[in-house]
Amino acid sequence: MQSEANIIKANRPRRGGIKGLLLSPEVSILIPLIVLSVITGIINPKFLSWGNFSVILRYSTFIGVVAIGQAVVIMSGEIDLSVGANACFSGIIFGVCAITYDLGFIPSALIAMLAGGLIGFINGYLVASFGLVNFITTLATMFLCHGLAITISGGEPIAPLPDAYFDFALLRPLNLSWLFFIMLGILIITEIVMRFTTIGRKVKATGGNKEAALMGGINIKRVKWGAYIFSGVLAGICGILYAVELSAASPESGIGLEFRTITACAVGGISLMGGEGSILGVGIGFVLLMVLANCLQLLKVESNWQLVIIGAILIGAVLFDLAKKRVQAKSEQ
Amino acid sequence: MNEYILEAINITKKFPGVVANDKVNLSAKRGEVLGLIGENGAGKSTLLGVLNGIYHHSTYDGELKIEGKTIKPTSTHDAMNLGIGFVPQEINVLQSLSVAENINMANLKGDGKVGIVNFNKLYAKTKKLLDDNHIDLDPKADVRKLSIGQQQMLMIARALVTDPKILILDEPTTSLSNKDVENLFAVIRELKKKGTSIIFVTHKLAEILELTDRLCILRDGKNVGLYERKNYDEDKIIEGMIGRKITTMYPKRDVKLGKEAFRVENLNVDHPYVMNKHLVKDISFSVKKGEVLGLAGLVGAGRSEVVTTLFGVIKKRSGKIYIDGKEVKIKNSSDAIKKGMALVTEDRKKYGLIFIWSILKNISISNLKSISKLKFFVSTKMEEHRVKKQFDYLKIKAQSMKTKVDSLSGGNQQKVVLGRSLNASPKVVMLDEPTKGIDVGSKAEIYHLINQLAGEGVAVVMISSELPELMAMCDRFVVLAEGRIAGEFSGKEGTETNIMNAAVKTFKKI
Amino acid sequence: MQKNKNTKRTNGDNFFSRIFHSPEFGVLIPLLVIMLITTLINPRQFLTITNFSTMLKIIPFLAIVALAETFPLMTGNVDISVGRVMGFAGMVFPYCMMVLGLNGWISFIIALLSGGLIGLFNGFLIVKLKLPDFIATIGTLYMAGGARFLLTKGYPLSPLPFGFGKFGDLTPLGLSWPFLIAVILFVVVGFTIKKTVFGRQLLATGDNRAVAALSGINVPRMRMTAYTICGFLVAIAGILFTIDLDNGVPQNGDGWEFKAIASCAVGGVSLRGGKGSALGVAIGVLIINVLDNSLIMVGVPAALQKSLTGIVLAGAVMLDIIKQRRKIRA
Repeated sequence: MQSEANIIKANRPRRGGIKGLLLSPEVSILIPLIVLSVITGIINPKFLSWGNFSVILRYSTFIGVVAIGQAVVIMSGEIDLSVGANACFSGIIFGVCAITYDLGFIPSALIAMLAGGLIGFINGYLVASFGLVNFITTLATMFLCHGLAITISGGEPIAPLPDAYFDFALLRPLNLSWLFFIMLGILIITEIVMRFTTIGRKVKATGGNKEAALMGGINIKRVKWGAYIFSGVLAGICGILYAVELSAASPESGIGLEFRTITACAVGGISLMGGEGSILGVGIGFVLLMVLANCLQLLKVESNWQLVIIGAILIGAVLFDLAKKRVQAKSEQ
Repeated sequence: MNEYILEAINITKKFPGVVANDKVNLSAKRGEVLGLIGENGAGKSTLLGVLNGIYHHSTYDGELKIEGKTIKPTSTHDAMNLGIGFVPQEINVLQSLSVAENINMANLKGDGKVGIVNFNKLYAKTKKLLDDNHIDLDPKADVRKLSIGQQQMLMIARALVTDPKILILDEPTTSLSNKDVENLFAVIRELKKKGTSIIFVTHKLAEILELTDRLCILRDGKNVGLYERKNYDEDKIIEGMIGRKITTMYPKRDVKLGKEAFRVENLNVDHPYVMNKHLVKDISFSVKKGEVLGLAGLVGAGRSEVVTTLFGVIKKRSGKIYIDGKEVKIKNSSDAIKKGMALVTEDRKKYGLIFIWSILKNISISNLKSISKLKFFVSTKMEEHRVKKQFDYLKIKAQSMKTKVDSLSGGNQQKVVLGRSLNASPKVVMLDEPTKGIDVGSKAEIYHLINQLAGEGVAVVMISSELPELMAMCDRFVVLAEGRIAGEFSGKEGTETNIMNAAVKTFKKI
Repeated sequence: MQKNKNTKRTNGDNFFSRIFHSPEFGVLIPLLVIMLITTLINPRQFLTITNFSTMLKIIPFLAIVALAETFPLMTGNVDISVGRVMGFAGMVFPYCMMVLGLNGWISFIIALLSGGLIGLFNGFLIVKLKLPDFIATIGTLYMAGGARFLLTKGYPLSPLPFGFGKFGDLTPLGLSWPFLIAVILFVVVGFTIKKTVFGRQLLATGDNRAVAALSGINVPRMRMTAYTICGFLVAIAGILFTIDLDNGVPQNGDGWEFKAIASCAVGGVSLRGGKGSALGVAIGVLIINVLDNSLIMVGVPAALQKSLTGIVLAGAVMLDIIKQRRKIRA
């Protein structure tokens, strides 16, 4: 059959060609973003300048890094509520290493990433091996991290970081920042891994139907554990990036990120039931949230409305995903 | 006509593709224990569903009568109100509440004040019910602390609350110890004295002989025999159960046996939630290259548990596995597949497939190494090339390999599951009910495939509840009962009679 | 007929043995142990009336929120939005009086309804629309969280009119009145759980939905009712807290959901559903708060309390899971 030959010829895991591109989840999330941007631009033309947009992208760095880790955890069928507090905690560790113990950038960064990964390791053990419910576990580690962060820092930011770090953060290639490009790099690498490698297949299989994955020979304990550790390490990186940006390790940074990352994932096409989604979609998702925040600011809407709206968006996005699945199931019968 | 409390007359119930009950007749006399026996697929469950109201009266033909009056049950509640009590097979109770509350949950209000439970009255009422029926339970007891036998008694007491005229017990002794079975029989005998009719469904011949007054045998959805106690003849009963009409032509094959491919020694698996109880005990067997071994037995005998444990999914207490003569350590399914084992399960929905994925991805998941460059990057070219082999070999009927599996028919879905297993080039393939719920055409194809596999030197272990199918496809048989080996037969010895005799064996002394 | 000795022994009619074997007693022991250890380490600061009365000041409100959380937990679900909803209702009350100029009692009822309706909304999302419970309640958590600030653009509302503020100073029977109200609520809920048809059916729903449905219980309605009751109780806590502070503070409730769940878990309410005891929750609340206090007495930095509460929560749930996995006797 002609169509079959075409499909098999196309060297992509999903439907090839223009049609495939238009129907992909990334495009379907891109459209609301474009629409929202256009509306905002009409309300306030200042929005549509690269100067403004680049700032939005720059600020999306921090939620971005963490959202990538959250996305992998969700795709494996779990959830991680500790990401924000973990970023805060790891950032403090970084600050302590860099300032109090003067260990230099690379050792401090490695230790901070290790700290974040350790939290991920604990999450992984409790959820994958012991069988504790994922949100209770990560809720508990969230409080563990937050408490540790405040205790170690004494409630005050640890500052100042060596000027070299700050100078690096101040560089503005294309009016963006190198920190943004680090996040972008992580995003692209993660997307490549999830889409094109055996690791990605294993994660998606585990999230898609963990019993079937088990029968297919996948070690689901290892997959979930790995996802949590990955999320933890990325939270660690986020903490480091925050510290570099602010030139201080603050016990306030990162708090509240977990919720936004979950929303970014839901909006970005990651099914909260696990098993599918693309990191690029998540990328567009958190940029969308930042644009929304900016839009509301320009409209002089109170910042607290953001919380309400994002809460509604989260519920709406998940409902939409559930409805889509139900429609699909019915049409196949 | 008052001699009969319950009469089921010419019950015919059809499901797509199969007539589960074909003009089945059943009648239970006042104060008797009527046994109902039949092998897997004989139509017992369907008949029970008709009697206890799961099936609306409009979904089947035939008549039901209680004490001579026609009834038309619309639901399980309706059947209960009409006087039919039912105790299902699975033990299902409210763990955190007391015995009295479990028994009376449908009617906690009783005659107490509005909305408030009068516990004293409840306990008294329950105690009376328990004493009247000689069931030894404390109404105040915490159900979580009861033994499994006591929980079974609790379920019976729950069914007795509505003072049923007839009580149906579905395989009640599956999880019980000898003493518990004794207790159960004593309670049943007391119920008999009160005039209650009891329908006792079992596959254990010894229980039939010990307890029942009459026996009704089902086979292929039809009545094949009704025996009075004085005429009980073990051989005749077994004969009644077997001898199903063979409507399928099973393909023949030349049996070429090689060296020993797979050996299991002393496999023991503990029961997951009952202490000191086994799911599988002392199972040993071996399979040669090119051989098809049939794992026979009735439902609950432990066959699925054996293969699932061998595949590394259930934890075993002890046992050794040898592949090609060398011992292998299987800790999880990943090990099993790497060492050359494959398992095709019966429940495609739960264990089989990732429904949001395509045929391509479902099959390739078992052997990602083989389709990746540098063991890391999945090459779609290699993937499609490799899966195409399975796709063609299995003759999966779908538009393309990229079709999502949830749009496939049952038979084709089963092929995808099989494809996934074969994709890892296994040396041992274990099939658990490979043709369950599949259309006739696909069944024939699967039989051919099994023969082909054996012909290529793969060792096959097959579980099937359809005895004719098992007998036609397998070279040797290991029969399980109550988690233990009840018989081993080779080739010609593997007659239906021998297999069934072993399958209905009880290891407990009554 | 063989007499089974075991059942008789575990549930002796003896009053004392009933107490010893009750789950609440099991929860009481850790409380006493903590208090004992703290007394040994720092008796002077711990065993003072001021210390205890300071502890008791905030406990009633937290206790009511924990009591509210018990309802969804008993039916096998969770509600993470309880803290913010409490704060929200606590703002709706003064808002109605001071901004909308409504009567005190009407404001009370409106605030109560605001909590109840959010609870109903949660129930609807989770039971009817089948959203995962923690996702739905995270959503309402943030919606209510933001809404708390929106009413007054973030400013607190005080002092309360109609003399509500003075209410906070009353000390009926020598105890603070929030404490009394909490006790009354606990007694009522405890009675409901242990002695009413509704309470027993609620537990059955959480224990085993299939069996509950077979027994004629309307399982979806039960689950939604549980969420709605939770919303109402949480609203009561918020309103009372505002009255007590004589100040409607938008930030009220932050972090309370966590303490509520921890109190319930420690107090013997299984996260799987089917178990719940008002007395157990009360002791759980005491444990969580006394633990906080003890840690300060022992010299642990205040910030670390949060971490330790997290560990206690995880530990309590782990213990519960281990208990659930215990095998039944043959």
